[in-house]
Amino acid sequence: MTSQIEAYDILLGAALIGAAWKALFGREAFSATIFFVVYGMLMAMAWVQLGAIDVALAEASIGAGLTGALLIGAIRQFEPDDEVHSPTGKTQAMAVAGVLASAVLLGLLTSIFHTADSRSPVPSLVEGNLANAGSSHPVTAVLLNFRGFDTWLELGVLLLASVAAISIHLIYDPKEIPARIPSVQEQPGIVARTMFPILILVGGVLLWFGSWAPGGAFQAGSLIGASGILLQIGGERSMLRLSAFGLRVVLALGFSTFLVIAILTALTGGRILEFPPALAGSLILVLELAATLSIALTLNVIYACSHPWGAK
Amino acid sequence: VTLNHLGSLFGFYGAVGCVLVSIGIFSLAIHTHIYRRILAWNALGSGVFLILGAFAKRNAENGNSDPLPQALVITGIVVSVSATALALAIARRIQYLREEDEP
Repeated sequence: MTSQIEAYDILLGAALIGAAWKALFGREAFSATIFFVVYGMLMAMAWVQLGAIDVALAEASIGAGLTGALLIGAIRQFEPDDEVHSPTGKTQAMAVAGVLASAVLLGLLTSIFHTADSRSPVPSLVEGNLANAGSSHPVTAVLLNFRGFDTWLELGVLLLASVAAISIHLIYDPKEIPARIPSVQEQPGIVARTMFPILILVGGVLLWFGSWAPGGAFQAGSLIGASGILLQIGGERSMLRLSAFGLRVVLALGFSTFLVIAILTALTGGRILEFPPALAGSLILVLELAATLSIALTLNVIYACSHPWGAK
Repeated sequence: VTLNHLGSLFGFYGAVGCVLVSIGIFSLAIHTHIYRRILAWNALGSGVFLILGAFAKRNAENGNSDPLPQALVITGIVVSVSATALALAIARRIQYLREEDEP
């Protein structure tokens, strides 16, 4: 049976909806953005309540942290627009939208509560096959083994996103990203250089933990990616030579490692990405290492490319 | 709709997810600025993720939440941040062209 809620959950749920409301309907665009970051952190706390520590880690670092950094970086350019600070003033349009949104709410609630007593066979299937999965942590086993296909395609989406971000960047600023940008203050640079080794270390620990506890490629990749973005904020961008061959190899590393292993598993008689139990642990580790590097660099490239410098 | 489901973690966070989806749709419909629409899309998406999380809790066995929705959501979070970054890059490009045209 599912467990019951406590007062803490009610407070958290109210805070989530309140923060979302301020983020979506707040008058001023900058404070709305700040509320959106707060909303992301509260969301990570909700994931802890739902027993999903892996998701909480991903949500805190990517959903709140990185999305926040992207949004705060972009908002300055939009702030002069009047439109960004207020919704359309038409009462009729708001009424129609309100009716539509309420209908969606009612429909969703009805259908979700309707399924309250059904169960999925997946958890016991995962539990039963965990010994052959190469990872004793169910979420890692699903991500890298049982549903490895999803993760493969997801790395493909990341690769596409980085290619698109680089292309858009090159269209309106064909120069290389400068290796160093003199920062207005020196504190961000000092913090970034102090935190960098610690974040890399914690990222490595998270990656290693992923084989039996919450953690894994996504959390490690986003943490290592965050350390790079801190360096970027501090003015250091020498790792982002977009034309460099090495950078492009690392961007494609996660996707192509999956591709190679998919071909190998198909050639050796199995189905695509069907790992032999004896090798599963090592294959997962190789895939996770490649994915971590690709995710960390992709996040840095799309962050750098959405921040035009020089171009005004 | 029977409201007694709201007392369970599944029902409560599922309902919070539904509310987030619907205010996301409302915000998407009433705002005309692209930046506000990107915010609304993100809130809508995380509402969907939370509903998936509620299902993970519903399917929990021996206190362990269902790993399948969790894996889907982790994948989804990474995809949505790259989509957001791409949307922002396009939005800034639009803004840049508009500012070039104006004077």
